[in-house]
Amino acid sequence: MDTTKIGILIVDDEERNCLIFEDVLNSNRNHQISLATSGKIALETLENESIDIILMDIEMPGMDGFEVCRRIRQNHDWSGIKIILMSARRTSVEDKVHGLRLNADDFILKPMDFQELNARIQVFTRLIQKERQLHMINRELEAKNDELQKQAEIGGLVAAVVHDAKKFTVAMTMGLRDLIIPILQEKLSHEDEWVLELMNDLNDAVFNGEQCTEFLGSLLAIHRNEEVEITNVVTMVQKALSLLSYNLQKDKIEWSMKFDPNEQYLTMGNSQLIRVFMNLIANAHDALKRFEVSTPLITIRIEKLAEDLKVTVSDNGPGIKTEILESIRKGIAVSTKGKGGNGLGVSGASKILKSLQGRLEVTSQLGKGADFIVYLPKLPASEEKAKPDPLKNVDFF
Amino acid sequence: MEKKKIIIVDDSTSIRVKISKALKMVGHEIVEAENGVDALNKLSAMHEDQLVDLVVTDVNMPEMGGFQLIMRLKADPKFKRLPIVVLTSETEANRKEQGKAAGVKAWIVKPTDDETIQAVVAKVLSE
Repeated sequence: MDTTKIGILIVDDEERNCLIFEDVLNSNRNHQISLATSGKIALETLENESIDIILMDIEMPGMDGFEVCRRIRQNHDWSGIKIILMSARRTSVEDKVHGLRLNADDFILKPMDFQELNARIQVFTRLIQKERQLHMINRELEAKNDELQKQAEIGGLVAAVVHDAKKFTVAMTMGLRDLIIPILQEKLSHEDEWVLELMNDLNDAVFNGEQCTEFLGSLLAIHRNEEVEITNVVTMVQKALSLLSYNLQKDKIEWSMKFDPNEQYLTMGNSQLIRVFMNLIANAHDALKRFEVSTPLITIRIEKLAEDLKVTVSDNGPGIKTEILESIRKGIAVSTKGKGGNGLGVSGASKILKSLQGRLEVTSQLGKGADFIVYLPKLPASEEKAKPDPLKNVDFF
Repeated sequence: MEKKKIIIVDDSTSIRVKISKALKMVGHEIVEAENGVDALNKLSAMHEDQLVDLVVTDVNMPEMGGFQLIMRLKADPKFKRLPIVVLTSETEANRKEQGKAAGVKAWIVKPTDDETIQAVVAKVLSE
């Protein structure tokens, strides 16, 4: 369908009038004009042609304009058609009101100024074009909605499977770590080389099991809507990275986290924060991959401000165009159609942050990459618990 | 935190992956080696100004173990100033003493966590 064409049907029992109107309206190349000299012919034309605007005389023998209007409005398929009624004699307020009650869209008195007629048609043309755009956006949204619904269903299934898998890995790892290894350590001689090797391998297995459990745990966490609790932002970023690290490595994208390991970055949050950082990192990944940046790098810097925690996810990609930046700031989902993204990442992250009293800012300079900056309320230092000293079991010489 | 280059010597792939992940997370560059021989080959291939800043090594490895690697490094003028961290499941005091005598900076007992690795590396590199 040519979306710029506007189909106009002129209905007047006097053929001469039809031709005059056709002449007036034909000056616009986007108009596609059809003519009908009776209500009956008008309704037949509607069946066969794509009509957006009807310009119709009220006084016609047989079926008059009011009746045609009434019949058009009974057909749901035609509800979007704009009807402009015209009359030379039926000029009273009652007539106009009657026409509008029948859901006509406008009422013009004859004789009329042709410039005014053209101007009115233009008003309806703009309206129709807006409606068409809305219709298209709606269809896109419906399709996206379907897709998301499918994803959610798959997500639910996956969550159940992951939950079971995690139970197994936990049981396996704990059995090995707390039962088998201690018994072997007690029973076997540490002098033997093979015992040390065996212990190495068993510790290996425990590592793998714990990694697996942690991974499955993060995967589960982003599916749950948990209560907010004291949360370390660094841990959330690390979990997001560990869920995405395979994909990042696959595309040879480097990443680095910058924070002070002696500090605690606490906020009131939940595992939805993992999703926030996953969305932002995946977003950066997408940009770097799409524009084939030569040494792609994602940097995540975590800082403490006076009131807030600040997490900056930066990429060294091509940056974001000003108009897209504006859409992102307005919270509009920016589609990266056909490029892998569903365009909901940033607005989704923003929504989660709002629910946690945080916010998201975007800055970008063309050619210098983009910064997505997360602000989250910082908990007072009094909430910080003394961390177990990570160097407790290490000997320094 | 400044970006440093670190070699991880361990015959277990999963440990190399884990340690490398923990250190990459804080911005370091990682080189992996499977045993002492592999480590020496990789270190020798590095130009003086591209040399690693730190060695993290296991003790028990096939082909060449950690102690032999440490002795070889300490005997070579190109490598003798490299700080060395041992990561092992050995807990015996006399082994630790042996490590201390060989010039090891820190002795971490497996299993360990990301935070410990990150903190030990930060401490040793800052000295």
